[in-house]
Amino acid sequence: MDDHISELPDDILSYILTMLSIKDLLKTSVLSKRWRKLWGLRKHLYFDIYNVLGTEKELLEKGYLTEVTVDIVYSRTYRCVNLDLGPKEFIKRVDQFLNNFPGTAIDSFFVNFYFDCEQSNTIDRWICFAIARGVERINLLFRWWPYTANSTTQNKLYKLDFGLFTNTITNVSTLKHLRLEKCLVCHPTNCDLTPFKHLRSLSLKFVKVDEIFIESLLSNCQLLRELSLVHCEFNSSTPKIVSSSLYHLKVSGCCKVSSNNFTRFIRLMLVDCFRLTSLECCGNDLSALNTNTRVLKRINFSIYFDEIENYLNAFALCATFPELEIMRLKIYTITMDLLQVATSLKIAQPLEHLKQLDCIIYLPFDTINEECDLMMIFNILQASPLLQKLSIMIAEPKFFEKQKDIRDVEIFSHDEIKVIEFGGCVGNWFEIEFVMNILKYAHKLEQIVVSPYFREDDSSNWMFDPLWFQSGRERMIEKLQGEEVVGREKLMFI
Amino acid sequence: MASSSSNLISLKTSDGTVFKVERALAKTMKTVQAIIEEADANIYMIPIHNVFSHHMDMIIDYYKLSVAGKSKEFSVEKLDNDELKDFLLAVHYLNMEDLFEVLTQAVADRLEKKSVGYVRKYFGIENDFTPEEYAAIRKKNDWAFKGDDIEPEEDEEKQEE
Repeated sequence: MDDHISELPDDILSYILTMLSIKDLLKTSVLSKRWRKLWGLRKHLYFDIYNVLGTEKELLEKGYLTEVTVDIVYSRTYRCVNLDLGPKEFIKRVDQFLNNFPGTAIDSFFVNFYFDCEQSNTIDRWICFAIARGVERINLLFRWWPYTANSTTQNKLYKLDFGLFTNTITNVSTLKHLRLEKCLVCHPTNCDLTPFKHLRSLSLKFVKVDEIFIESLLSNCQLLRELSLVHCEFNSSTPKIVSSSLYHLKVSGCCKVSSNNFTRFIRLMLVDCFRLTSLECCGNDLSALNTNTRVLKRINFSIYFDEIENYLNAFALCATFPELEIMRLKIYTITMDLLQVATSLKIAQPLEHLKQLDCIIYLPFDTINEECDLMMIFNILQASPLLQKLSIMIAEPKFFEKQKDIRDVEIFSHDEIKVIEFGGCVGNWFEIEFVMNILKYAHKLEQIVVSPYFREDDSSNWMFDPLWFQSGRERMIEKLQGEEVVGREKLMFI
Repeated sequence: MASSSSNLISLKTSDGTVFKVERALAKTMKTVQAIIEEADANIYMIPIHNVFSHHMDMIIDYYKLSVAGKSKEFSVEKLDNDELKDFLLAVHYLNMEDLFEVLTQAVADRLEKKSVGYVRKYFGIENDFTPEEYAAIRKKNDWAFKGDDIEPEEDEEKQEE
């Protein structure tokens, strides 16, 4: 038998080798003399706890992870990382790998492990390794997730050293995408940001950052298309985002911690990006938001129903974007009466171009005394005459004690909507009410899918309440498959 | 005679067989698509070098399954390593993204979690290291060689710990 696989051309082999785990990749390096260098063809280097230390089962067996019982009453256990064993062994193995890696060019370098300022030297060394090989994408994700750590000392965050990003050999900056989690980013005092001038995207999460850096970066990076700031801590509460190249902007869950440790959420004041097509931010700030974009196509925001103005202002702002096509809305309802006020108020300006609306609704916590209804969705539909697709998900659904009668919306009609997905159902009366009304008054409706599944965002897992399969589904089918229900053939129950 | 039927494209494999395929399938072959676009008039027959008729059979199978949403049912298990390599080269030549991904993953799966001895045996790779050389390079990344990987059936080359 001959060695056929190594006859493949280099670019194909490189692709295949990228699909192997680090361990399997290393094993190929000892197969034969021909294979000794082939592992250097791999362009994507990815190091995380599973890849380097083993599967979850192996981690528990070897003591890298321990099960800790946190709550004896509810028998809740967490898996904790062993801070004495883990980092040292991880670093040793990655260092071994990098010291022997024969490749001279890599595309991406990802590290996903819990590191802090204690391992600064190591991280700096690894960054140099990647930069010297012309890396285009760097991820440094220093969280303990999905595990926790039994640590009483909170070490300082790893501080990014901008001086490392200059390629001292070629002087060419190749970095295009940078993603950081749990780091400290300060504006560099003794070097500029020219190594970042080719940056296309920047994503910061749980990062302590100062605005001067953001402003400086935006003016230095003329090619930056995407900026994402999630759960970051700023120095001021009103950062200005000014860029002539940005297409996508996300600012979510960011805050400013004042001198007396008081946390205040960021208000986005100025977003002067005339190319912006997609924006994700908190809806409570939308009233004060001063945007300078006429080409926004996608908007994604959350509304906390503590003030009804937030809700109306958010829609008023959306109406000012003449090309807005897709809206994603998360509604956190605090109390029922606010929800009912929202239903009674009509949205003044229509959203002329809206084609798709995705709505995630968090219901009130109190299911014994509180009530709920989804009538405000009809208001939104009324204000979106060209809407084609609607998706509603009830996150964390609960069954309400008081089941009410179903009302008819009466004055409602929609001539465009074709497809509706209705998730997070458990069989509540207001779910049935919504479906019945939409079937009756959405004249072009082709299909409505009713399911129990919901998820908080695109990266979370799907969840559902088992009550649906026990009784909810049947309850809904019973009420909605009767002969008097108009359009029931368009219904699909999961 | 120029082919006036705009829905079917004629492809001629290396072994001389002519396949008439739907335009939609031809579109998944970026190499073929480029040839069509470059030709001024309607092209009569497109020769595809390095692609044999048994490759085209599998490509058509894959296409039919993926159109029906069942691309996960496509399997290359029955191909041995040489056949898989040739098929992969054919798909690479035709520049078919999805199928290329499937086939490279298939090769990666054959390498995954197997011991060094297994991979050598299964892929026909000869160990041309001296025992000293071999021990030295294994030591450089020693942790990768521990653990329960799949071993070859006969214990001819028992070099694992």
